[in-house]
Parts: sequence; C-alpha cells; structure tokens
Amino acid sequence: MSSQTQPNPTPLSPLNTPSRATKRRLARRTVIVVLAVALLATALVVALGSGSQSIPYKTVLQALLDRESVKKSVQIIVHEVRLPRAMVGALVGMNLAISGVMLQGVVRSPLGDPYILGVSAGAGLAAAFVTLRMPEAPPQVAPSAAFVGALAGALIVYAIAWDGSGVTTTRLALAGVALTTMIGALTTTVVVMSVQGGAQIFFQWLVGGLYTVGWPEYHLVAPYALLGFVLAMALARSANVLALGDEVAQGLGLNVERTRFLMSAVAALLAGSAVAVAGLIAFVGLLVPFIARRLVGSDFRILIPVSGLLGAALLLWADTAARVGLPNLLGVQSVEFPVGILTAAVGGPLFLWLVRARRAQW
Amino acid sequence: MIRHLPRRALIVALALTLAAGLGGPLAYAQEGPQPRTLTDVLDREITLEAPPQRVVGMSASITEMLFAIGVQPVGVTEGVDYPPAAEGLPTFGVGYQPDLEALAALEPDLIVANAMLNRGIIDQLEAIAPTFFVLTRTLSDIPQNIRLLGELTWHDTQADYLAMSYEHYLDMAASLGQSLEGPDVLIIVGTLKRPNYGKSSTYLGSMVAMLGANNIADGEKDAGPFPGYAQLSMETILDADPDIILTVTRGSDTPMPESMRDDPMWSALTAVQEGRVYELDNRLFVESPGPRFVEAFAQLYELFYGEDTE
Repeated sequence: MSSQTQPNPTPLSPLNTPSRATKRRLARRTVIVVLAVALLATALVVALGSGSQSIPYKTVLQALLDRESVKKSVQIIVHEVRLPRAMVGALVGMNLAISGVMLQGVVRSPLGDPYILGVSAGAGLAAAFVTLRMPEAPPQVAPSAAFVGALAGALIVYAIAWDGSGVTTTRLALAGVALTTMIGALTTTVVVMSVQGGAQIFFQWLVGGLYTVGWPEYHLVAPYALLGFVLAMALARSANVLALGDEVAQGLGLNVERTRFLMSAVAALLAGSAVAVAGLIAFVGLLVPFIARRLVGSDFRILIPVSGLLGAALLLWADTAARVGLPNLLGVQSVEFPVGILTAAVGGPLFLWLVRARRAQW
Repeated sequence: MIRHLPRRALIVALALTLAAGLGGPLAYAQEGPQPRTLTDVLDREITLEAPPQRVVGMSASITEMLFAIGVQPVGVTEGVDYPPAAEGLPTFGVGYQPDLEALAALEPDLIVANAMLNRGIIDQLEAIAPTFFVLTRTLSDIPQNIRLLGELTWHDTQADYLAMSYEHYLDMAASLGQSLEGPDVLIIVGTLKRPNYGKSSTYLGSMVAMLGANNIADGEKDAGPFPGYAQLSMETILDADPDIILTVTRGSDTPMPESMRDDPMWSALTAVQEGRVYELDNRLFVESPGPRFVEAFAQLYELFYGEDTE
C-alpha cells in the first residue's frame, strides 16, 4: 500500500532541470491519465450501449452521428434517455471525486468525503427544501441552495472536529456521522411533509440515483462542474503547500485559514450541485481520491484531474451496473436500482477500514 | 292515414339511428381534426395537432378509463390485468418507476401520466411524447377525468355519454345513501402493524360515506404517508367498536381479517367476533379508481345491507 506514496513532489522542487526520476514520474502520470481517459470512454460507450431495450452498438453510433437516420424510438432512447443520463452521471461522479480531494486537503485526512462530512447531507436538506417546499422557485435555485447547505454542513463538522491544532480522523468521522444523521432526519421530515404518497420521490431523496435526470439536470450541473474544476485547479498550488502542515505553510507565506475556507467552498460547490441533481450518493469522494493518490501521488495539480476522470468513470460504470446489470442479476427486470446503493456497497468497507486503521495513510 | 304511420315512424327511426351512428364521424368530417389544447391537473397546457393513435396510460386507473371510452392503449404498466384486453399488451415497468426505454420503444404519441407518481420525470416523459397529467382521487374525479381523456383522444361522444351516466349513477347513490341508516365502519389499508385508517376523503372512504355508513376515522387528522388517511389509537377503535371493518392488506401475505382473529386486542371487537371483517381487492377499492367503481359500489352495498352477508 505504501509502495507508491511519494514524498512531496514537484511544486517545491527547486530544480528546474528534470531529473531522471522526474521524467519517470512524468511518463507514469501520462500513462495513468491516458488509462483514466480510456476507462471513462469505455464507460461512456457501455452506458450508451446498454439499457432495457437492446439496441446494437452500431445503431447507437448511427443515432449519435445522425439523429434522423434511425427510427424515432431509438432517437429518443439514445438522445433523451441514455445520453443525458450518462453525461449527468459523469459530471456528478467528477464533482463528488474532486470535492473529496479538496475536503481531504482541508482536513488532512483520507476521510474527507462530502458524504461522510455532512456536506452532502447539508446540500440534500437545502435542495429538498427548495424543490419540495418552494415549488414556484426556478430550478436554478436548487444547486445554489445546495451549495449554501453544503458549505454550512462542512463548516459545522469541521468546527466540531477541530481540537485547536487539527482534526483527528475519529473526531471527523464521528462529527460527520452525527451531523449527517441529524440533517438526514430533517430532510426526511421535509420529504414526508411534502410528498403525499409519492414513493418514487421519497426514494429519490433518500438514496442517490440518476433515474430522474435528463437534459435539464445536465444544464443545471454542467456550469457548476466547470466552475468547480477551474477553481479547484486554481487552488491546487495552495493546497500542495497546505499539505505540508499549517506551520510550514504559514512560514511559506500561505494564508492557511483563507485557503482552507476557499477549498471547502469549492468542495461545497461541486458536491452541492451533484446532490441537487442526483441526491445523496455515498463514498465516491472517498473511494476515488484514495485510489488516485496511490496512482499519481499527492500533487493536487495532477490529483484533481485524475480524480475527476476516475470519478466520472466510476459513477458511470456503477450506474450502468445498477440500471442494467443488477436487475438482470437479481431477476427483477422491471425496476432499476439507485446507483447510491452500489457506491455504498463498495465504499462502505473502505470507510470502515480507514476508520480502523489508526494512522491511515494520506 | 293508418298505412302512413308505420312508414313515417320507420323513416324517423332510421334517421335517428343514422344520426346516432354517424353523428360523431360526420361532425368530425366537417370540422376536420382541429388542434386541441387542454390544461392538465398540474396546470400544464398540451396541444395535440390530431387525434393520438398510440396512447399509453401510466397506471391501472388511467388504463381502465382509456378502455372505457374506447381507446385501446399500446402498452400498460406491469400487473395491469383489467380489462382482459389489457393483459396481452406490452409493459413498460411499474407505475412509480416506468422503464423509460421500453416506453420510448412503444413510440406513443400521447402519455397520460399520474400526477402523484410521475411528476418527478415530467421532462423525460415529455421528451418521449406529449404528456398529460391526471389525478383520480375521489368518486367525482372519475367522470371529470373521463371527459378530459375523451377530449384528449377525440373520443368526446363516448366519454360524455359515459361521464353523464356515471354522474347520474352517483347522484342516485347519494340520495339512496341519505335515506339509509348505515353501519359504523372502520377502513384499514396496509397491515395490522402498519395500518392506515381511511377517512371519507379517500376513494374507498368516499364510497362508504355515500352509502350512508358512518366512518369512525373521520374526526381525526390526516397522518402517515398517505393523504386522506389517519392514525387511530387502539383505544379509540375499541371504544368505537365498529359494526364492520373493511381491510385492504398491502405489504403482507396474511390478510388482516386472519391476523385479527389471532390478536388478543383486535379479537375483542364485535366485528371480529361476528365475522364482519372483510378483505377487499386492492385494485378495485384503493389503487385503481375508475370505471369499475360501479362494481365496487355493488359489493359494498351487499356487505352493508345484503340479506345474507355471511
């Protein structure tokens, strides 16, 4: 596990001429980025090629290239059902993963995941409130409200877990679980108060999933994804310095508190918009940065894009499995499962292991 | 004179028959298929350029109403088995989570959706076909929605006729109910462990009330996940000791009348001891308000006032 973790890489390196080791690292990173892109591309192809209706890949491709060349039902299935869902799924996965990367930088612990830290829960409450209790509000309000809820959630948990000099993994996990449970109860109250017998909406708010997404949700989440990614990249250098520890970072002239707040805000922006369109999807922000760190090391400038790619790929694969694979496997073809149960099933054990590992590698 | 009369009568009769039989189509031919704009229960406007040819209904209730006005849907949600003609039709998932791909594959040109279950996927449904939302909650919604569906599918004549006869039937039932001294009734939907006590504002409750029965849940506030249902304490129920208990068991294999007999508290009730607990069909009495309310009414009337209710 520790074999690939590297000491603080490039940003502070005084050398301008690349050493052999640097070159090797560069080659390795290039390979990993290419692999991550390939993983995302195949995920996209499989997502577009599978569904309850079997349509040959050739026909799907034909539909994508020239919409009018295929019959109407195929047009709708490819362009209005599968494509928007895949696009939203990829963006949600990317957002959650990068949000996790940022939060881990803030709390300096592998448990920095929007789902664990109450960020998603805060976003969920705000989004549920706006969507269900303020039906006249335009749809664009939901992600903004979710952002505010997410930021509030992050700050509360962080404040509780802060012991004056830093946060410990255990305190963080406990504070996150407590807040998530409390906010979850409030969200359920809002949902129960508002939804009269609508089992589907109930479901949708309590386990995250992509069943209800279409192009409108894509247009809702895409600007946030872009903005969040750009801001995260802009903060990458500061995040690298912050990773050295508060004292060192301060010594190097970094405004530690401001950096923390900005990183939390970007994490909230990303997670909030993801939650607003797809509900609470567990552990993507935990799982993906965990893997990405082991692949490319801890330099945020490479960690952020690689996590984004892997997050998008992971969520797409998981959603296709939940949508097509799992129902077939369990023999219940008439329904599909929310993707949140799959990410929870994979991420849950990792979460438990990280909590148990006294000094989890970060 | 006398010889003329039958012939004239014959001509009049023939003219009437023609008018009745061809009236619709003739009027249609004169007007041509004018575009129609209708407003649904969610206040959305939809415009249809021509009579829809491939209609789907997103629930058993809607499907039954479509069939009743002479529209044959091209697909149904899973488990819809009434009328018999619905049984062989292609399915597209369950009502609360329709399989959008299967729905799109049917190439519908009109979707009639349930305003309670399907409002989370308005955009996806609209991407497939113009979507009209209805909500059938009480008896009076039935004729009203029948008329709407008639307008929507250019089946106005059948729909109007049907709606009128339903309204007439409901008027008669209401005045009949007023003249009757009905039993005290308790309605339970769910299971004994998770009961929902139906008030007169539910579909079944509205039928029970119209038949002159007294619903012991009516004084209570709405509570629990479903509108129109209350949560009663066991004390209230024991105190009221209803004459008849109507149960619709959902979410358990053991029908409630059976579980009641084995339960010390429930079996203390007169209705349980005298065998006046009746399990009713979920589709007919709860889930699918629609044209079959006539049949549901007849069954309830028999239970309340029949000679041999045993």
